[in-house]
Amino acid sequence: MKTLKRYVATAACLWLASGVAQAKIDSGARLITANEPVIVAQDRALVVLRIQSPWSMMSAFLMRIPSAAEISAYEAAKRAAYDKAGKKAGPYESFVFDYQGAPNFYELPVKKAMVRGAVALVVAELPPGDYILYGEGYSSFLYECMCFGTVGFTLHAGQATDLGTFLVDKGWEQSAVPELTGVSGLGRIGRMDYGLFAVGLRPVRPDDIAVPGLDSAKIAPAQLHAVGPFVETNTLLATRLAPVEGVLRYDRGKVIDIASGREALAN
Amino acid sequence: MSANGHFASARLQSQRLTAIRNHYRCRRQKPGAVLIRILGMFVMGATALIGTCCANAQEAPAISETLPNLNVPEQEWGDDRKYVILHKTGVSVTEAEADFRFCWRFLPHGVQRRSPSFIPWRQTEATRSVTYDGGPYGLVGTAIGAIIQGPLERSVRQSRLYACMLPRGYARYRTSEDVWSLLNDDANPQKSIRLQALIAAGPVPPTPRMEP
Repeated sequence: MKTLKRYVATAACLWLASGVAQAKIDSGARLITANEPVIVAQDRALVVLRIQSPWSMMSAFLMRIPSAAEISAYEAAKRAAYDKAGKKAGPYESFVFDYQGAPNFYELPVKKAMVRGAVALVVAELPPGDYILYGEGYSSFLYECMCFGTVGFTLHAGQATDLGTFLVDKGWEQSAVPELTGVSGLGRIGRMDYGLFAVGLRPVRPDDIAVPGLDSAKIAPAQLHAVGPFVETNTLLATRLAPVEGVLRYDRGKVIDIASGREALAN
Repeated sequence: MSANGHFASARLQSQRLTAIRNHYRCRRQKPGAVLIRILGMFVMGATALIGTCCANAQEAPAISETLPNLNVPEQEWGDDRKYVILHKTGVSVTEAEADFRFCWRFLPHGVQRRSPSFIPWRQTEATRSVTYDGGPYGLVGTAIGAIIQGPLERSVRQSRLYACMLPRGYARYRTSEDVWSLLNDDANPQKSIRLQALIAAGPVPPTPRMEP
């Protein structure tokens, strides 16, 4: 019965997710494949991320913080669409808008990893900018956001940046991954109808899988900082990134940036 | 005992809970969702349940700040994963209310965001309504949707609430579905937040504590 219920929940998840209209827009990201030479373009940033997960369909999701000009363009387009929709649009605050402008929400999937294995190596070309580790999911859908605390970093043009290893495990069981100790072992509340995954980020280590064809000396470790809570309702579940040594910790739900010693306030 | 020490009579309390529960169940669904629910029940042969949902919604009383009776008998306890109240020893009502108000913003459930797309960071963005309308699966899908909607939505809601509140030091205590419904009224979130804060800052609930 439990298995059946889980199948129904999974089907419901896919069904609900399938309701999102998705226009074909340029993703803004290019995933580097195994047989491709790794070249860092001067006007692009290269990001390196390993993903360690028991499941092969997992993805990490990054969000590039949009510029003021991008926000203005978005608001203008939304206002125009709202005006065009007329009375049927309802209140502006609840008006659902599909923006066709340049995206800032990117998926790094195991399925398109440069190197597959127990730990996958994903290498992608992205627009330079300030980013946050936004969430976890699969098949382009955001399953859970890191809404209650995460990390941010900068990707520089013409430079390769190593984020380290994205860790995903079952939240409902006690994880054997040391970094996930504090965010796993939730028991039955971690697995009601949908399983809550424990998610962490391990900063790069010297013995991590190297990027084939790219001099490791040319890859800079990401300079991580804590990012406070942010509201994201268009997701299934919400959680927080596990504490990151030297970067991120929590104090009774407050997000603390270890380097500065200050609370990372809600966004 | 409640935080302020006064309860309505058991009968009045029971009537109030029933009315509020019906009110809650109806108000949180859009007209289309109600129709879907009815269709789903029809398909599943559960016609006896049709049509009663919103009969007394207009007559639902205003929710007072009177707390429900937390001394819920064991046979009325709901699923311990979902139907709980939260309590934190030593917290003030003001602090608890601030915590609940903060966490309440994360509870609305929208359809999952897809990549690539644009996130208007730090701007207000509408929640994309989740509908259990069966999609391409016709009446069968509609029927399944009607059945699974409530349980799944409550799971999502509670999962988010726990992710926000438990790290802040709140503990879960068992309660009934009726009490839970009273305290999680989306039609009146300010009242729900207030009541939950009063409970969280009040005496330790008499029902068992659940870990985590």
